[in-house]
Order: sequence, then C-alpha cells, then structure tokens
Amino acid sequence: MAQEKVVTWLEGKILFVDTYAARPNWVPCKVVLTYGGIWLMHGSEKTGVPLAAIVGLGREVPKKLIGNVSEYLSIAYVMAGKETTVAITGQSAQLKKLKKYIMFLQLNKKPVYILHPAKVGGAIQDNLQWEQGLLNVVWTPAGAADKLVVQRKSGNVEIPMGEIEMVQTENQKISGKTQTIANIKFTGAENTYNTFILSGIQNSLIEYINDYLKESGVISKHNEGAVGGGGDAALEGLEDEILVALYSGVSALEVPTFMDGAEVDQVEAVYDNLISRGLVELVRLRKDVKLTAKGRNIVNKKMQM
Amino acid sequence: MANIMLVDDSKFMRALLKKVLAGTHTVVGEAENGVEAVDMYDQLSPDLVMMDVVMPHMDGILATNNIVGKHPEAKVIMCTSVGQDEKVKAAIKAGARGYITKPFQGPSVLKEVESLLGQ
Repeated sequence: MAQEKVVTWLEGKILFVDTYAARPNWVPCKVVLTYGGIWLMHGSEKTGVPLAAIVGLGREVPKKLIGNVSEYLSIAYVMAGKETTVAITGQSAQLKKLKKYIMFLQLNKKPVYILHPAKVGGAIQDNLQWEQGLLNVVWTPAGAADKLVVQRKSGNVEIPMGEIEMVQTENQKISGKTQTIANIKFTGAENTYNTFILSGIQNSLIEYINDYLKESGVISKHNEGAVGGGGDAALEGLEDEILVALYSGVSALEVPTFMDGAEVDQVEAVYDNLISRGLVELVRLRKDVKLTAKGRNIVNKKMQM
Repeated sequence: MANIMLVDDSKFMRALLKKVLAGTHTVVGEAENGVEAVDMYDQLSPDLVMMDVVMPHMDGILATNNIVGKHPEAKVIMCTSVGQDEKVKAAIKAGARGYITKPFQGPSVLKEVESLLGQ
C-alpha cells in the first residue's frame, strides 16, 4: 500500500483478535487512515490494510476476547486469503470519526445499481428497471443536510439522511440470481419512498445509515429499533394502532372517533406517552370549550329572533 | 365511485382502509379470511378487492387464486408486510394486479386503486 494523503489518525491501543489467546494483548498503536487504506503502527511493526480488503467494520467481538474494554472499533479484513480482526480503542470521538471516515471512503464515488422508487407510500411500483449509478456521500456543516446522492442517467436520486425512516437488507431475485439489497425507506416532499440499492459495499452502506439513525435518536443505540424487544420501539396495542393510523394519514383529531371503542382521554394519554418518547411531536393543542352563561344567553336570544 | 371489498383478519386494518377510501369509493363488503372472501366475491362482484396475505383458514394468495380462477376480470390489490417479497411473487402468480406494503400512506393507496380501476 503506497503512502498517501492522511485523512485522519488516532493514537490508542490495538488488539489483533486471537480466538486461542489466553488473554487479550492490547498494545499501544497509531492508526492512520489514508485515501487508500489504514496503517496500523504498533511497536516496530506497520501493517497496511487497503480499504478494499475490509470486510467488516464495527462488528461486535466476544467479550472474553477483548477483555475489559467497553468502547472499541473492530475492523475485519482479508489479506492473502486470511481474515484478520483487529480491535482499536482510544478516545470515543476519535473512534467514531475514524469509523465515519472509513465508511465515507468505502462508499463515496462507488458504482451501485439502484431501483427507485421501488415503493411510493407503500405501493410497489411496477415496470421499473435497475439502473447503474454512482453513489455520493454528501456531508454538510454540522451534518444538517447530509445526504446520499445516486447519480444515474435518468436523474439523480437524493436521500436526505435526516429523512431516513429505516434501512434493512432484503433478498431479491435479480436477473435470475438471488441478491442481497439495501432497502432504504425515507420521507420525500410528498410521500415516503423505498429505494433499493445493490452494490459491493452493502454492509458498509447499511452500517453507515444505521450509525446515523442511532446518532440522531431514530433508533436505539442498544436495540436497533427491534419492535417488541423491550427497547424504545416496544409498543402497546393501542399505541401501535394509533401510530399506524397517523402514518396512514388519519388526522390526530380524528383518531378517537376512528379507533373503535377508544375514549378521547385514553387516546390523549397515548399521545402524551408517544410525545414523551419522541415518537410523535406536538403540532398544536386542541381547544375544548363549553358555553358560559353569557354564551347560553346569546344562543337563547338568537333562537327567539 | 367504485365498489370495493376489503379482506383482512385485522378489524383495525379494515377500518383504516375504509377510512382511507371514504368519500372516494364505497366499501361494499368486509371479509376476515380467504374463505369468506371467495364467497363474498361471488355474491358482491366488487370492482376491486384489497386483500391481506396472512390470514387464518385460507390465506390471501390462495383466495386470490380462487377468485381470479373463477372471475378472470377480478382486480385484486395485495396488501403485504415489509419483507414479504416471496409472498408478493406468489401473489403475482395468483393473479394480483397491485401490491401495497404495510405500513401504507393513504394517498398512495388511493393512487394504486385509481390506477387499477383505470385498467
């Protein structure tokens, strides 16, 4: 790996994960990320890992193999036919930065196949063809308008990071072959869209988006949003139905009459709960009024006219 | 205004679809499973059916297959959950002409309905 311009670096400790080691052997090291790959410098040794050799980033390593280290970044790579996993520990912010930049370099300007919009508001779109495209990762100051842009002949597809609802892998039969694609669901100007992306950088793309969703609080950092898993997405029956109704476009004011057997107070208590959990936001307070004696007096007079 | 039949074992989902269609189309019948749906279609001959996939007694794919087998002109929109692509493919084979994944958004459901009714 040739010497190249440095993107970022950190000083910390590194562990070459060894399943058979009696105890983890963390050693001081310097990690340097360049546009071509990662240099791991420890003692008198220097290992160069090309970006293309990385097969896993941020995977969890069994605790018995890493010892008492709570925060680390694992990098799995294959060189000369052998897979190696290293764990790097250091300052939290630096580890996050290193991971983010590695993913950026893995994803940016990479060729992909895209199917867009695969779904609009849940409706599957027929007669679409997979198109070739080029993935661009766009960063903006403070991340306010970060987005993924796929350039393609029929027009660019922009996916604002802040509007992504979820990402997941799906198996699709493409040209007679089962392929794993990334299914990205996001909110656009007037609707929700599902975009399918097929690439050789699938895992990094999903990891990149999931990291963003965790940082922005869309999914739990500990429970990747698994429904019913006891994390922040665990919902009671009525809460669940109310969220689905709101998603489908039923107005919050109509929900009490729409939900069979639900009282207004009960629905409003659910709203309070959902607001406190960050699942819905307050748009405006509904006014509930009753006539005063003066108001009743006017009504009586009006009726006598 | 078309006559639409809803097939879903979830009362809530049927109510939600009814709400989405209200004012634009008429829901002429509701069935809770595929067996009911096949019988109801024979009686009502609706313009369109919105069919859930996973249901007790007879699933939506078999029900669609039965309905389209007897009434080749039948228009069925299949409602699947996210990640049920294999079921979507089975639905295509069974004769469904439109596909919606849950959760859906009202305007998109209406658009899909209009598109299929226009065929």
